[in-house]
Amino acid sequence: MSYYDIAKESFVDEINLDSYIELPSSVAAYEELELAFEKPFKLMLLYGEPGTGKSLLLNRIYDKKKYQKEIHFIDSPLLDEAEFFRRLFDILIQKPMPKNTKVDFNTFVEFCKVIKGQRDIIILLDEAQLYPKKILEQIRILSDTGVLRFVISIHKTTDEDVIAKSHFQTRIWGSIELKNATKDELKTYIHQRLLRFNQFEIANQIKQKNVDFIYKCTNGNFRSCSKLMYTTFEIYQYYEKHDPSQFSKNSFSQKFLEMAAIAIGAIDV
Amino acid sequence: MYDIPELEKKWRKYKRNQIKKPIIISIVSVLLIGGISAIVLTYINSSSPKESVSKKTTTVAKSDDKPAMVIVKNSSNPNVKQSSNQQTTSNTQSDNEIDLSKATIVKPNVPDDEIRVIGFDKKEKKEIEKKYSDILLPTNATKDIQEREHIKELEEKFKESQDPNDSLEIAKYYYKKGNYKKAETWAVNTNNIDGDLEDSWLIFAKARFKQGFRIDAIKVLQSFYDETNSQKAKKLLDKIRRGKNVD
Repeated sequence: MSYYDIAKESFVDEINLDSYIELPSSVAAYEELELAFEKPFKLMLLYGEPGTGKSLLLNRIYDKKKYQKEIHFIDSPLLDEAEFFRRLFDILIQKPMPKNTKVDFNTFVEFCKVIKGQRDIIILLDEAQLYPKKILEQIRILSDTGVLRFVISIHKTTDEDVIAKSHFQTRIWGSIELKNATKDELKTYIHQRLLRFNQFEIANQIKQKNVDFIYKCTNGNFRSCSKLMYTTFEIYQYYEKHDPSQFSKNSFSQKFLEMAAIAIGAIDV
Repeated sequence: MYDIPELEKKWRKYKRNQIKKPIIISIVSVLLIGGISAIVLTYINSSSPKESVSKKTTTVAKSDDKPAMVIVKNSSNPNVKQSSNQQTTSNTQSDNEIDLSKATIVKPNVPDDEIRVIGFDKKEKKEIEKKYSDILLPTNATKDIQEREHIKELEEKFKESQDPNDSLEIAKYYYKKGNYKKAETWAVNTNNIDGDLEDSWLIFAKARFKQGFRIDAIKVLQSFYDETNSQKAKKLLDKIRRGKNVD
């Protein structure tokens, strides 16, 4: 496996807590969320553009708190009521729902009233903008019981308004916005990802000029940046195999970076 | 995996565009700056002789366009003579004042330290409006002033001509403006020259009525109606008798 294969792998877009990079903004968001857990919130809103690290943040807080609190992480949206109820049953009763069983929603509400004061359950909901309105309404009612508390993560789109205003307007205790990285943060992010895979040499070859270009193309979005870097190393792999004379191993190729930007549509030819 | 040779072609195109872009921008900028400079120079060359002339002498020509009227404040006793059509006047202007070469200047019926300028074409009117927005009169005001000037001229003319049509026009003007005393006087002047003019009787009666002399108005109209059988007089008489408002 060549250096470029490894470098490419370091930018695979996956939620991997081992590759979590602590940047000032993400640390601040984590601390804010951690602090909120100690407050009597019913609903917390976590929002930001796609690729700003919402899922990673939820993953990380879940990972850190799962032994201290009764916390559940629903990472993929539950698109129908039956699926939602099964998951809810699992969380509340702490057993899988028996087959051929149907539970009425009011039963969950009544159950919550019974366990009130005995249990404090936090549910982390990722991609909440994809939930049907009916389920969002049920989440709102459940949060009112004071037993189930929700951290809902949504994309910063018009849906944010829909969810925030029509369902949770008066119940949202606080919100945390995750923003795109600054130029310096992006530089750290790129270097750190490469260093995690011991790619010191390549990390050192990436200069400010390259970072500026990456920032210009991605606007500091982590996911777009990873995609751009991944594609750049894909191009490296091609030339390494077919025409190694096209690049120097001592410097980072701005040409390949630009080609990658064209390939992913980040710049218009 | 991407089609790398194709991607490289696109990249070359991208680089060419990157080089072309600043060149095109530079060329366009140079052309634009050149063009603007040429226009400015042409304008300066064409306008400077006029300015020098206007600073010394102002030839007045009446414009056919609807006049723009500006009051130029000139406290230093301007050497302005009355001008109507094709007259010449001299005027000392400061650099800030407008070019009067295409304007008609009339003797102002305003304090002596102001000059009235009429008769710019539309293009100049806009410039003047912009430049003298603080002292430019509104259109209705300019009409009023022009009308007043006309009546003043008629009054002067009447002294010589004793034309009842002129005095009647003056009576109507004052009645319209609500100056009923003067309207009455000019109606009497008209009547003294030509006692058969229906309108002068009507204006007189209306002016008396407006001043509160209702019975006088009725008497005058009744006697005029008795003599001439004027339907206008009858109609007005009925109105006044019924206590209706008179226009």
